[in-house]
Amino acid sequence: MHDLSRKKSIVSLISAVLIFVFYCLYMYPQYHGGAVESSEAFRFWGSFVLSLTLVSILAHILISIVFNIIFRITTGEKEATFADELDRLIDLKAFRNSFFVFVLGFLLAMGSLVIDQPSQVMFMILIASGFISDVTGSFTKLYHYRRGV
Amino acid sequence: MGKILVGNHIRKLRFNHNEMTQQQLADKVGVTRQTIVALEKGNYSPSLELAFRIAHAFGLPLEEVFFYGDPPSE
Repeated sequence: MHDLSRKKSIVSLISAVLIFVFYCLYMYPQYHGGAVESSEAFRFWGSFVLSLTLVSILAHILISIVFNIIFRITTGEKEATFADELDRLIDLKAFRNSFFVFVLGFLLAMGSLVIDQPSQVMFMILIASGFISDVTGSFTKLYHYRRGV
Repeated sequence: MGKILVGNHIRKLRFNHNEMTQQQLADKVGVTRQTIVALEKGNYSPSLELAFRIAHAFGLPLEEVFFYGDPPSE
């Protein structure tokens, strides 16, 4: 049985992990350790987050286009041009879980500042929570498409 | 996740209506085929509006397509 949304969720999950891992591996050599509390360090983390966001969006779009082309060629099925009530309900649940995880990460990041951790720790927690929230969203979609709502 | 209590006879009704495909029913009621699959598998309870649209597609009253709780004995 062809199940586009389920496959899309799997592709989204895998691509989110791959993009994050490869981006971190690419950026790691430019990281100068945790002791730096200068404007240079803030610039590094600022550019890290902005570039990651941009790269992530572009890569997701590209992967989605490639996936749709491959899906269409292999199955001959067209992707639905609309989201019906089931899709919207699953999207809402995915967004809720994703948002919850990110807010939890955000609070942890702020907490790290309260207990006098270096700013790098705060940035790392923020970035990690962004990544985990993305994965949570995809995982929630996958779960509900498989198990129902 | 709570057990879905709204069941339906969609699969049987499709068969009785000239072996209508899931895609044909989906097109008739304005949802994706995946939603029809989820309904038939009992993985999703439709909105009231969709339930009425499905019943209308089969030309039957709502309670002949959907039931609440255990399936009625026939």
